Amino acid sequence: MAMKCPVGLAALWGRYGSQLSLSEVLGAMRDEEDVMSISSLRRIRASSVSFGESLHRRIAQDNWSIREIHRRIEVDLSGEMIFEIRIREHQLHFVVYANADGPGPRDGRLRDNGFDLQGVLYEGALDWDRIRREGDEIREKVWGGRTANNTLAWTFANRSSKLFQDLRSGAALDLNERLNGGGYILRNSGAYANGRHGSHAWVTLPEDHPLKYPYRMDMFCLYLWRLTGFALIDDFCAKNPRITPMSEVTKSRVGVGNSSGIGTVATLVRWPSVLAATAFAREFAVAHALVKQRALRRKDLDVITERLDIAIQGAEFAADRDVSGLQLVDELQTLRQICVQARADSGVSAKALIASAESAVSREALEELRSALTFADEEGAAIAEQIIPLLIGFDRATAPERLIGEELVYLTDEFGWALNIDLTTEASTHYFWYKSEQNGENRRGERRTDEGVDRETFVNMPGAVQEYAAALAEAPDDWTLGRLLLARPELSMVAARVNLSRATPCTTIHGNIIHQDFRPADLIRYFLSILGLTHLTDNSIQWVTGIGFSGVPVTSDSAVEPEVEVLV
Amino acid sequence: MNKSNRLGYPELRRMAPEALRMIGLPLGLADRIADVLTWTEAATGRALHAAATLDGQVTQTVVPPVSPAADDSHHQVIDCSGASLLVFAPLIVDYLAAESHRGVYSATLRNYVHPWFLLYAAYQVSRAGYRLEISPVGHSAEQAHAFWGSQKDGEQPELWVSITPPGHLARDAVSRFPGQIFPEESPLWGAVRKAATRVDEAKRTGIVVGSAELEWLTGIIKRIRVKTSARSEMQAG
Repeated sequence: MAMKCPVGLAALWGRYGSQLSLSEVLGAMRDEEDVMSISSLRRIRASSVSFGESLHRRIAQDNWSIREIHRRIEVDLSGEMIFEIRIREHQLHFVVYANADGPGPRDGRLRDNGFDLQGVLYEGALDWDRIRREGDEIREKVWGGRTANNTLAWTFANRSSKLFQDLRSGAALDLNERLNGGGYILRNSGAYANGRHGSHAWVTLPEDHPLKYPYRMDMFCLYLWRLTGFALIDDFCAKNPRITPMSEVTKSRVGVGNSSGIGTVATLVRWPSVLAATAFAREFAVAHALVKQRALRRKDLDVITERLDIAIQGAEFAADRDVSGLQLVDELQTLRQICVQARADSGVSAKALIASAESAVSREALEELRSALTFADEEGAAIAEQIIPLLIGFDRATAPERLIGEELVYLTDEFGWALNIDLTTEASTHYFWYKSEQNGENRRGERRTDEGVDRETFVNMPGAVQEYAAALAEAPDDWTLGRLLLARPELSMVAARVNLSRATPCTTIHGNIIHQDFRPADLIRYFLSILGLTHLTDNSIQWVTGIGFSGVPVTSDSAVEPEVEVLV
Repeated sequence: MNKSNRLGYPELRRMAPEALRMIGLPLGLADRIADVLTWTEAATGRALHAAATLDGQVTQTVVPPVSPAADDSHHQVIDCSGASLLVFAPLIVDYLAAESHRGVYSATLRNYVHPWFLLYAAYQVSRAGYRLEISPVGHSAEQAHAFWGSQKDGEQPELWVSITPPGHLARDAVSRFPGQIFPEESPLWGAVRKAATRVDEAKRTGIVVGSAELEWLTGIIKRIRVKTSARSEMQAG
């Protein structure tokens, strides 16, 4: 079954005046069943549509200015730093409160109440009184703190414990050797940022605000943490002549670390429009590139090869899934050779490139190439970037006037995969998601062993669909959905989700997340990829690390002025 | 920094489902009613207070069975069994909207609490093109204005509800937000207009909530959290 066209896409497409046909692009997309299976989502890699990539494009296109204007870092690494950001008429400040080391390395988990670095991004002029007071609040209260409405984000990070241990050992160290293969200086557990603690959520910013875009605030905070890491290292090198500073080339390879746990799986289920937007937009971008690139230019193939090089760097530690990490490296090298050959041959189409790859590598490696293609198609990236807010903007209304017979037919046709999942065995309902008393950190318990089933987080969409289908089948034929939901109000959420699926495809993960065999890392990988992270590594089946902005040139003005004022 | 009891609109929307679950709403209903709670708190400042009054009641009281009974083919009587319209306002209005396509155009609503949640339901159904009117039975226009404007517990008159589906209206009579003028400034729609304006403002600047309500909210969402253990800590990742 071909991918459905989301409501509103035709109008969006029309505004771009593309020479291509929308139906041709839709026809080149994989079908929804293929895209939304757990194994397919796991294989998806960062593309031009990923939130980090669209942020990076926007920074470059709109010439955002980011200047470090204050730095005070003590020997114990405590202190403060301030970056001034100017975007058109907007003036923002990113204030970093650096703390001395704790008694041991900090994990950076949600349960933690201490971090190496705490950051505040706010809109407005430099205001030392505010910076002092906000510093007191975020340092003392952490998760329980409150801020003002012109604050855009609170965010947290930790230093790479290994790197800083080496830096502080007193031994000579060449950072260009140490970080030759990339890596990170700071890491952040989840892009915890916007719309909490009373901060101004992106969705309610004015329409023309440069940060009004899904996940842009979160990714901008990650971006700022990367710059903060560089500034910290520069400061350390200036005070320690035995450390050889990073060159610009080394800096461009170094990103910002991230690690995410099972909460991201619950997030993907909780926000079906986000899932739909990200999955559809990425597939759209790939299809657009396949249709548009009838003869790849040399510079297109150079871009694709650069993306494969980043993938090769990160593949060595990849999980042993379709193929082992080492085999994945080999396969990516094969893809690289195919691209080099295509560059020599000239005139090769994107479809032909993919056809060559399909016979040579696994689906895991193939998805790297499909994602890489999107970086060489500016028009496809630009349209896909606008598809995301279109789809995320759909609300979850119900259609109360619809007759239940009609709904049951639709459910049977479109959610057959969910109705066919056997949920009667113990294995099929083995796990449940819950929030712990430790700052609400998400966890996965065993249904028949652990406490908290009565407060479980919703992740069982197949179960909800089956319950809905049973209710529809039992209700009198002449009832409307409005009548059914008055009698069975607990079905409101699944009815709204099913209704959303009429507006856009890709709203639901096609699989059983509570099954004994489900590996959360598979979907955490998807989540990190849509953020734009690379170098994904399964630390466990429910904990994945990655790196953001690796390979992105450093654009901070990095002009440190004399200290304006010391906070303490 | 002017720190206050100010929640971002989406921040309250994110917290609301868990708060509603903990006062007894089923998971699948809490997700929907979260929109009602957030919009109405932004519009009236009375939603969290109302939700807090339901906290501690048994589930059957928070979500009692609500069943319509037909007077005739065009009128329904809906006895809410003492339920809060926080929970039932959108469900009842959706039901009447659906039935209006078959020619059932009116209902009497009785035995409810928290009528101000009907403002949200009226706002939403008007966006879908329906024409809704709700009047407290036996009230003059002045009294009706006071009824919709007061948002106080106490008086619970029977409400006369009439609804007309989109296809039955002259185009210029369809009420839609934002930007369109309501054809008649009835007491209900005067209140809805003010509410929608406040919601727009709250989306820009946040929702100021009382200290007691904020304390209740931050406390109740912690109830969904499960006690930790060494085993539990291993289940995070």
